[in-house]
Amino acid sequence: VAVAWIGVALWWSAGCNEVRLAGDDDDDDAAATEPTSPAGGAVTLDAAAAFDPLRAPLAIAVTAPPGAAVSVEVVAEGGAAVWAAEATADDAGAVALSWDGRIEGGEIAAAGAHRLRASADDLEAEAALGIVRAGFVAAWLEGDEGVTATREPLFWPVARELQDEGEPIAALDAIDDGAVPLDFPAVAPGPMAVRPDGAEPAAFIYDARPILALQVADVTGDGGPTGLDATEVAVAVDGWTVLEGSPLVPGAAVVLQRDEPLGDTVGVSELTLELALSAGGDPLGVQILPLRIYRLLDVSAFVGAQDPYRPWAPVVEQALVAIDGAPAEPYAVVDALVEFVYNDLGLTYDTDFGASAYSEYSGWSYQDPHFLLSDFLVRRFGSVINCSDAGNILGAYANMVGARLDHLILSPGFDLNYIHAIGTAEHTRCPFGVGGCGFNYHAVTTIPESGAIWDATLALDGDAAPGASPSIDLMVQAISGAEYLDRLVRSGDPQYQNQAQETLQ
Amino acid sequence: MIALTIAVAAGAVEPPLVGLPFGRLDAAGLLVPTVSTVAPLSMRYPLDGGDGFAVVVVRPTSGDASAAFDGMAKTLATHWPDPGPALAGRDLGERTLGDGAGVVLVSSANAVVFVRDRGGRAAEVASRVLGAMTRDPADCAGETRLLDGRPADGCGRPR
Repeated sequence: VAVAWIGVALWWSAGCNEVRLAGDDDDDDAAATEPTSPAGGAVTLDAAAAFDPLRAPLAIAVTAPPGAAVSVEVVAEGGAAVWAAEATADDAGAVALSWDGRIEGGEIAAAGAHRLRASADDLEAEAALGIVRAGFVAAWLEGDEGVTATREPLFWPVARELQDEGEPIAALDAIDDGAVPLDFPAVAPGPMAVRPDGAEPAAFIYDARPILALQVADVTGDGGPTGLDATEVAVAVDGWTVLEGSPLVPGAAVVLQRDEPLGDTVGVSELTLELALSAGGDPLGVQILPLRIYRLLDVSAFVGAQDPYRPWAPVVEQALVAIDGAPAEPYAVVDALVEFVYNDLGLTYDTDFGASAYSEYSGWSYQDPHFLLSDFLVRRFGSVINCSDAGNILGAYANMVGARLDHLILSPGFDLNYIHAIGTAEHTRCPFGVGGCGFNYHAVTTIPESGAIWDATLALDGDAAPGASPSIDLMVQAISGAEYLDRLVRSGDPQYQNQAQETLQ
Repeated sequence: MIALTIAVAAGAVEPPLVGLPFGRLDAAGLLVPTVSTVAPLSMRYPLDGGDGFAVVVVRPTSGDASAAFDGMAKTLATHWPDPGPALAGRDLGERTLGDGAGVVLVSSANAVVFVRDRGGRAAEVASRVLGAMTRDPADCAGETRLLDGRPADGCGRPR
């Protein structure tokens, strides 16, 4: 019976390997001419066309005459057998085997082209088998000048370093450690004051479709071949389209782009990308790439062109986690940041003197506000602040996530209606105690041309009588300049002046 | 309306100079400063124990320092208390503002010192700072460099 099948190449089924019978001299890619049957004395072989032994073992299914002694072997290109196994076909003629890719001595077989053979008595089936060690060793996130994605480099203040799109956001020394395939590391949690090793976050405008480039490893972890020159391996990522570079070429890049925008809000996108590798439609395994992407309202709104005026990693991390989901619109973003600064940063107004812990003005006039942001991030001078500090904090956070916000001075001094200063317990007209019922000056913030005020230093009395108790909190979020003065000022005639964007150090 | 209260020390005619080396501030408890990149020759130090901070400004002349004092009085605090007992018996400098306990601003010769001390020793800290930095004019020969790299005389006055 077996003789009748000699010379016939068979396609077993979709996703199954080519099966050939002994004596076939045709080209490996010859098409099947007739179906085959596992019964009746033939030997058939069903296995994936390729596998990555570190990611998943190779499942081998053989059919042979019931009770037959079956031999299975993997033969390298030079003809040497690298692995062999013996089994007896069951009553249905089936044999199921698995190979983890290890050869005698426990080593992983070298990647490359192999043949898989099964034989029983004088019957034999054979198929091509690719052993691959595929994976990626570096990942970049890129923009395309705003066509579909705008990336904004992050700044690390401690090291005074600016991200470069030419540098990977995640990298591995190798795709495996010799025994276990390696995933990309996650971005280390924390305040991001220090540039993390291994993986970094990236910032894009919220509606970007980021471009991802992956560098294909050209060697395995122990320096061996990847086998990609002998076996075509493709990569796919759910929700991303491969633009170029698949099938993989050792050392080359695969480029993908996200299908959908990151979102329609500002915040933080934590993505876990499964880089699904396959050969001939058979899955090889998955390499994980965690991404942490900040969804900015826009590129930095600071007019300063120097590196420290790009978004600081610890600032956008803190701010965008806090306001994640805020609508991507300037007023909404600054509104959310006011709540964040007022409620969440652990700051308290200096109810003794209203001293500026982190702020200066160039030339000691009200012009050109200047913020000691590096010191503020580590609370070098404590958490007790004044209005200049609150204005600069709000301004720094807003401008860095893309909402232009300017500093504004109210001067000359004035007496107060009821306010609820940041970090204090209650409304008062006299935040500095008896005799301390006014401000020499007051600093607030505004979006240029808006005519509106944002202030994280204090909540106003929001009821119909802001000069009398009781009081209800009115957060200063896009309140008109006139209403703000009406509610804040008991006596005096302060004017808005010295509008300027702060500088940073 | 809150009026600024400025006390002018009597009898200060030719005060000694105040200047670098700022290393002498170590002895006054001020260690590593933040050097302002915008405010002229302004250094801000955290106080021991996280109780507050001190701002030390050195200007070329006492006139420049007095002008800086005025500006700092306007912009460094929104409320200045009247002089308090902590200032009693202290001759900190030509001009003094604050209660001397939680806050003090002093102009002395060519320097201005602002101290915000939640521990209540502002005048004491300012006194130590000025004492550590004060030099006889005869000691000012030679050349030093300011923390921002600019050349200065031996007392730290910018050239």
